[in-house]
Amino acid sequence: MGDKRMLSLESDISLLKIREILESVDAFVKAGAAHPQLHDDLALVLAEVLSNIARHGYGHDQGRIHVQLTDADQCMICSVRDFGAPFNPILQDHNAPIPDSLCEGGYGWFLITTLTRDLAYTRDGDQNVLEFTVAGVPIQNTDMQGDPAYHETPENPVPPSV
Amino acid sequence: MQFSIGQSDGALVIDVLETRLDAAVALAFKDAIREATASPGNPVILGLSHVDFMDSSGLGAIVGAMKLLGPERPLELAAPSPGVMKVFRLTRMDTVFRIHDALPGTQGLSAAQ
Repeated sequence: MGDKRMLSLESDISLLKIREILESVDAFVKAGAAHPQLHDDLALVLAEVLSNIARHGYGHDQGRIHVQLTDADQCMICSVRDFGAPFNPILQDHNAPIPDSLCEGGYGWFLITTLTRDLAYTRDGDQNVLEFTVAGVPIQNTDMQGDPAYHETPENPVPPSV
Repeated sequence: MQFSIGQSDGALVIDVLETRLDAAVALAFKDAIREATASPGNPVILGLSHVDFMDSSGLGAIVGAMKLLGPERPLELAAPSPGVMKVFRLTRMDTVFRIHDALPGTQGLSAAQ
């Protein structure tokens, strides 16, 4: 197995800047052989993670972030560092709000935990470090999220759902 | 925030001309909806066929728009892309909105603002 492709990106962060960052990520992902589902899931997860950092980590002030992606073929291994307020997302409520409550927020961590695996947080000096892997979970697979055997690939198609 | 607004069979049809409904435009979206829904029409049908990316901020903005309109003026969705639909399904917010496969044909009220 050859060297894995990596993207290392440093940027200022703001809600608008997120789009630029995601464009760079997009180009990196598309240059590889990732399944389109993985591309879409990664974009969504990163949008959620980066929005949280912009809003809560930096409180909409200026701040830097560092994103590192490793293309591990069937999945992307990600690391996002920021220098904002200490924030352990693992401690957050990961349940989606009840639909009928018509909440305008609170969906982000649910989406992140649903679409990633191996989510881990550490505080490294003055940095928040969030690591996770995105493998591209098809929608019909979300109730099998916890089962590592269920990764839909061309060789391993998802069985029809009951 | 660009919309194309029309009427169809009594409904106010708002076709979102943006490709992204995300944190960067969530507030602008809600403001634009407030303006657009000053025009009459019931229900309000939001066309999403041009939107290829929606995150939880975009979802929240749509929910906010629904709450703005109140219970007497439903907000319905039309033609969401598979990626956008995935976010609605994962969060189960597809149970809250009526979702049309396609945008109804309209008589234009105004061009994109």
